[in-house]
Order: sequence, then C-alpha cells, then structure tokens
Amino acid sequence: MSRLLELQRRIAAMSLGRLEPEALAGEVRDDRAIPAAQRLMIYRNNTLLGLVDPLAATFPVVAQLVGEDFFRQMAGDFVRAHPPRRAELLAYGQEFPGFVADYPAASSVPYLSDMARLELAWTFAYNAPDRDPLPPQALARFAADQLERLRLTPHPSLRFVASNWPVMAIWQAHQMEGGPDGAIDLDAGGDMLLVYRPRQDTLIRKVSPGAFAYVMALAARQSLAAAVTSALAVDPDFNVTGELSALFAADLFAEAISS
Amino acid sequence: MNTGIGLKAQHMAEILETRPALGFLEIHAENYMGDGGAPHRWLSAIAEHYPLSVHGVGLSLGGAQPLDLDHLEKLASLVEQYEPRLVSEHLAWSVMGGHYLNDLLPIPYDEESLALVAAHVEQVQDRLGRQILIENPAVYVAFDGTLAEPQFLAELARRTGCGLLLDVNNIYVSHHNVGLEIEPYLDTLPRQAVGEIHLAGHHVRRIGDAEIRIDDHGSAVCTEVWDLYRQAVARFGAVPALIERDSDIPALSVLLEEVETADRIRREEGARHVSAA
Repeated sequence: MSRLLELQRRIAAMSLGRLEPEALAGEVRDDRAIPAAQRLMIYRNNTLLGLVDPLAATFPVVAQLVGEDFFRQMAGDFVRAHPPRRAELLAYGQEFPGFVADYPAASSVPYLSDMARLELAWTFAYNAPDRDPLPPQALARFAADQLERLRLTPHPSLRFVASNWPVMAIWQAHQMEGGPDGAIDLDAGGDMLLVYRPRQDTLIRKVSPGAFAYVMALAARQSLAAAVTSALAVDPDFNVTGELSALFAADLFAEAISS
Repeated sequence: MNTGIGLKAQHMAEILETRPALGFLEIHAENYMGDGGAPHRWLSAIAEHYPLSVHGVGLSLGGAQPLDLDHLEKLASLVEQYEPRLVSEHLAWSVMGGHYLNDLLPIPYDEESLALVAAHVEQVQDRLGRQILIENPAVYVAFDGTLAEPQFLAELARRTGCGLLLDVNNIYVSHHNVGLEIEPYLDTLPRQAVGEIHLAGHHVRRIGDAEIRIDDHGSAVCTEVWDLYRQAVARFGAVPALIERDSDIPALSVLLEEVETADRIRREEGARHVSAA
C-alpha cells in the first residue's frame, strides 16, 4: 500500500471518529503553539459539520420535532455509522429513517421515523427529473377495449409514504414560521401519501387505502384491470372511475401505453 | 469579466429582478447534480443573463484511490448542460474507502502526491475536454514534504496544462496556521496559469494561548487579504475574481459592496500597469 493511501486511510478514520487524533500526531509537522491532535480535531469537526448540515437541510421537520441540539447529536451518530457513499449529497440519508426508528433516545416520538421517510420522499421528488404530466383527457384517445390493458405510469418523481400517524398534518404544521400554532390530534389516524412533483411544486397528496394500492400497482407496471383488483383487495368500495379522474386531475401520471 | 459572487438560493430572485453588474456567478457543482426541479430552473434563468463558473468540491483529486467515475460523469453533464466560462476543483482529497467526508483535506507536497494529482487532473480534463483550474487549500496541519505549496502548484500546472484558482484568503489562513510563506508564493506561480482568484473571510479561533484561523467563508474579506488581492492583481492581471460566502450569508447588497471593492482594486492596479508601461 502506498504511503499516501495509508495516511489518508488513517485521517479518514480519524475524521469519522474511528481513530483518535493523537494516533496521527506523528504524521503531521510539529508545532508547539497548538498540539497536532487539536489541529486534527478541526478536520474531524469540519467533517461532522459538513455531513450533519445536509441532513439538517433534508430533515428540517425531524429537527423541529426533537430540537436542534438533539437532532445534531442524532445526525452526528448517523454520520459516523453511515458516512455518505457519494460526493453528491442531495440524496444523503437514505438509511436515516431506519436509524431514527432504532435510535433509543428518540423512541418517545413514535412518528419520527415516518416523518423522516416523508421528508426523504419530499427531497427525492424535489430533485427528480422534470416531466410534464399527462392531461386529464389523455385516456380519451383509447378505445374501451384498450383501456383494460393500458399501462399507466405514475410520474417518475413519485414516492409512497404510509404511516400509522397523521404525518401530513404534522408536516404541514411545521412548515409555518415559528412552528405549529395548535395541537395536532395524534389519534386522528394514519396517512397514505403520494409525494411527487408534476410541475414546479412538490406535492403531498393524501389518498384512500384503495387509491394507494391502486397507484402502487400501476407503479409496479400492472395493467389498469390488475390495479383495480389490487385496490379492491384492500378496499371493497374502491370507486375506480372517481379515483382515477381525481388522480388525473392531480397530475399524477406521466405516460399511458396500450399493450 | 468583472468580479462575481457565489450563487446562493436566497439571492436568486433578487439577482434576476435587479440584474446587478456581476461578472459571473459561481456554483458548487454538487448542489446541481440532482436530475431536475427548482435548482436547475433557477440556474437556467440565471445562465440567461450571466456567465457561470462551476466549482467542484467532491472529486477528491488528491485522493490516493481512483476517482469516482459516476461523479466525474455528473460533473461532465453539468458542464455540458450549462457551458460555464470556468470550471474548477481543489488541491485536496475527501473520499476514502468509498466514503465521502465533505471536507477538503490536505496532502503532503512531494513527488508521490504530484504524480497522483497530475494523473487525476489529466483524467478530468480529458473527460471534460477543457482546462480546469485547481485551487490552493486552506490548511490546519502541514506534512513534511519535499516541495513548497506554490512549487507544487506551478509544477502541476506545467505537467497538466491546468490553470490555477488562487484563493488569497487560503494563502493567508495557511500562512497563519502552518507558516506557509507568503512572500515568494505569488512570484513562484507562473503568471499565465492563474485563471481565477477567490476572496473570502475566515474566523479566528483561540486554542489555549494560540490562534488558529478557520476558513469558513462566513464573514467579510479582511484587510490583509485585500492587500494580498492587490498584489495578486499586480502580478496576474485582471483575472476573474470571486467573493465567496458560504455561511452566515448576508443580504445581496453586502456582497455587492465587496464586489465593488474588488473591481476598484482591479481598476487601480490596471491604471498603474498602464502608467508604468
């Protein structure tokens, strides 16, 4: 192994808190005024700051829910356990919801992990490729016998978030300057959410369990007929005509292919 | 090109509305590596009115391991899409064992490092099909090396044909932190190699009785750094300069005042050149 590679391995380990800076003191030029270990700690701090800040940008509601100090501690622990795999940090934190779910000190906020998933979905949609949605009249060009076998592709920015908690109401309440202005009923029931960005704005749309299953089936490239079956399995009263036109009106679809 | 500033989300609408007299706007490449959405919408609007500079922070050119080719491809797409006037990266490393540290870590200045960085710079220039500028780092530690930093940069430029992005604040910070010598620094760099100058602020942290200067781009450019800028303009001429602010970002008007100061220094030094000729 080259000398440089070995040196960088050791500095990286130090920056990620896996090696004490004192172990590297002999590698850097000596300076009596400031000990080498303290100089090296600046790099460790910079790395922590440089990786916690992007997480704070992606998970602002999680941070509000637990407070800035707690969030930075938890995010720092996450950074050391899951350093990013790439230099483009827009998608950093894929494992953060799971990490939060297993973070003992956060267990008093049972919806924290679901909120992290919602914020991750929001960031994904925010940075997703631009794609014009299909207009509501797009289905009109298909004959009735074609419709059954039609494959309707949801917008590529779409992410699904299901939670046993009212995470959409909690998320909305924390978009206001200064935080929520009223109490949120945590017993209000769960949310089935579609998070996507058909045009400029990123949308969070609450849907019925049937519609959620329906869109999931379409995203898995099932035909319209098969998707209805999936929806009826979770919701016997699923009204395909009404739900489909509502989803079209909400700009959810990107492509319709007759197969 | 007149002096530019780093493009920040909170200034975009005002820049598009008021169109201040900026020479260019510089972006961090990694912030625009998403596929679509608002960042690209804003940047495209800005690009209609101003030249761009793409400043990468994540290539890890000084890393002992091979470059991340996916990252290089993303940089190449960004450069193809926006056709920036300038493309730059750092004399530093930030990737090890497949992990990205989001920090600009220093390298020893010796032949091993030089060969490695030169190979990486050539790889990037080959892929982009253009020259890139390499920025001198701000450091908190120094290694025993056989070359001084400006010699290293001069030789890198000679071997690869890369240009240099001279960060005068980084010279000043490294001078205080590890005794980097300021005096022969500018004269050691080849006159034609410097293609951009960065100006930024730093803060002073006390450790015991000693001081260390942290390059956080979070405050105004200090007097000593303006003096260094004047010397740099005298030696390298009117190359594009950038006011760089990445934390505690002030109102646009505050940055525009610093832009005006940089432009004034350039005019004064330019006039001196003419009268001396």
